[in-house]
Amino acid sequence: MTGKLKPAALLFGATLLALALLLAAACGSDPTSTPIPAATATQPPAPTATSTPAPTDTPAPTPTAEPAPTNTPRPAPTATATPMPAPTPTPQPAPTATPQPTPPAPTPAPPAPSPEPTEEPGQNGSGMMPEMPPPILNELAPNVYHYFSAFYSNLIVLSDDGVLVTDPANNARAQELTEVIAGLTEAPVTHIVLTHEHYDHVGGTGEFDSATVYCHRNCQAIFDLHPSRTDPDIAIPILGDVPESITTYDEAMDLTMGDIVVQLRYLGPGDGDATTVIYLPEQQIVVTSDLYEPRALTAAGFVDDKHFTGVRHILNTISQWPLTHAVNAHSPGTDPQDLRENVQYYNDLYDAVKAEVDAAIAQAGGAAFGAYGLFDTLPQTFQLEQYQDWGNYESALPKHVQRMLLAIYHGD
Amino acid sequence: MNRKPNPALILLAAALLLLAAAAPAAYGALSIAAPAPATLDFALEPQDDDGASVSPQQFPPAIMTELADGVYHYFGFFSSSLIVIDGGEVLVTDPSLDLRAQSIREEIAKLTDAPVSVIALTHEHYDHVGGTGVFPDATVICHINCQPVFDLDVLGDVPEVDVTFDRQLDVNVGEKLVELHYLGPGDGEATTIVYMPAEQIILTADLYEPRALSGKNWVDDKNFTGTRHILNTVSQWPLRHAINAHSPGTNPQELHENVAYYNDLFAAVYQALADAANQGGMPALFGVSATLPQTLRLEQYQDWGNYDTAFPRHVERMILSITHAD
Repeated sequence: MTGKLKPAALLFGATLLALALLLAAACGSDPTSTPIPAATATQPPAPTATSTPAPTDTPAPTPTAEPAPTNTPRPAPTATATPMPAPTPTPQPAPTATPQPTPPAPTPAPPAPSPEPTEEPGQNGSGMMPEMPPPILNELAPNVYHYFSAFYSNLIVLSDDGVLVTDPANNARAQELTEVIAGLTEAPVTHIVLTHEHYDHVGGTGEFDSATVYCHRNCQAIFDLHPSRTDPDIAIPILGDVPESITTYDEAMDLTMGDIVVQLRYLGPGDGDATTVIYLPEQQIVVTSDLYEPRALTAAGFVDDKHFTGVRHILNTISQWPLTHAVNAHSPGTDPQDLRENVQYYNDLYDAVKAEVDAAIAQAGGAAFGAYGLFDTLPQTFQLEQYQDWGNYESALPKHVQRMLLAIYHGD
Repeated sequence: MNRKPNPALILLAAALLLLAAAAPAAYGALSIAAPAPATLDFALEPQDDDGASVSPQQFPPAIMTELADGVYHYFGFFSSSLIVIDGGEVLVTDPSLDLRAQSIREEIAKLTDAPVSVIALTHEHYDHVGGTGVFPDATVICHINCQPVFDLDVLGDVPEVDVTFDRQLDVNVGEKLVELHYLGPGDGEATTIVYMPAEQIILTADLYEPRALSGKNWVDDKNFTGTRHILNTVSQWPLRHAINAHSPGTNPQELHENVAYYNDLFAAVYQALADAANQGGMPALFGVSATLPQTLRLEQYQDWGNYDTAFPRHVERMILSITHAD
């Protein structure tokens, strides 16, 4: 460990997450807003570009990917864990890890900012910031680590020549990662893999001078819309940044870190449209981002850009791959059972909603107008009681039903 | 080239078309200042934000409007298509569903014996992409992002795409040039702008409504900063006609008014976020993000359709687009 963590570092990622958590909420006082004059946009003249031929994509070999929803419980994965000093009065132990008195010991995070967090991520779509769990560094396999801090996950892969890290998220967290990695190796970060295009995952890459940033082809169009680019004169620094340049892929890309193969796979839209699944076939480790929460429905405020039939497809696909660890973007555990339970949830949700659609069409004698009315009624009446003890069930299920309907009907 | 359509889906797609068309509300009161040499009169029933069911018999007659030599705007089943006829070739956008595609075929047959040779799809949403099987000889073009969404279809009426493109594809229809542009995410992730530079005619789908906010139920997949970017971009192009997917007029002023709306919405939301961040940092930013959908007003748009029902949702979506890229 070469330095102390800045007190703000651990908070920054959590505050960004909490920002998203709060978006759908309606609480608190009533700040007034005064509209300002319309922003002026400098636009190019009429286009004159020439045609580009349709690209052809040859997907790299992927593990078997048949959506067959099977849920075979597996033993909890083993991991070597290094709990960090707890930043809150009530630290939570690493879920599946055996503590070891080794590496980096960052400075404990400061108290959570006001307003006080009261909910776990994924447990609400509104309200306050959740309580901050302690940072955790788990060695999932030789030279492969899961770092969990301030409600965000990173996969760290070490090699003699360089380090791969996922989703630095923001500058403060990137500095925190620099210190954590320095406790593991002297090699520089050479590869940054972004799991998807959402802004809370993609900042901070500039902290790693020698790194190449990898992101799916669809990332670039989203990055070009970041306010720091479209409206630099009025940028809000606290909203962070996006990578200056990225190396893109379409269907599949393999990276090699020493003797470790890191596969990047695009399996269609999931959370956003640049959803990348990261898989280490030899180590049987998968990393996904914002596709599911352990025993909780993704909060209602987070699912606008989530393609529900797409998430179902992705989870069904990867659940067929050999998995020892399943790293999830915003939860500390890596038990693949968390993923498999969500495969079942998405399949149950799909099956039930689709059955309602089919029944409504049949009742209308094949005319689909009966099903048409489901949009306004089904989200309010639908239940999946086997999931009623999952987090966010009451608050988020109606939105999940609406999103599944839209995905089935409309391709949203 | 195309899968066999499920008859039950015809009505479903029609319903979806109606639902989308219903969003802007108050068509009956719509003032169309654009050149409108409509050949048939009709009046659409005013619809509220959530739309209402109708039977196919309630669909008003289709309109074919010649916008330029060999270039037509078909408006039927509450939805628009651009039709380009030249040199024995025919291009059509968004057949949408079999019933509507058959109507388009009948209208084209009044003008030429040539078969439809090219179908260009404006985006990936299922209510726009059916009906291609009515034109079995046509080459179907869709943005590269269409296919992953089509692969997820379970209702069985998405086309097989013959040609994809990434940034731009130029299509020659006889001597006429039709440009397909991808300018980033708009409504969906395969948003295609159809533009004819010589005729100065543009077609967009589901990015705006004339003097109405897009209905609150139809903006989940709409990237608001992306839509703002696209509209700002195309508004700089020479435009004589701006065809919109679900409204009968083609006056570019409707587009320009929505450029102002999206810029005003962005500016107001952005200013509120910036003020909060400057005054109270991240906690204040959280707070204003949570409350702004209920407190923000853009009074200059209060007479637009769906303002009361959809504006809070538009604010919410703009916040998410700015802060999270949704």
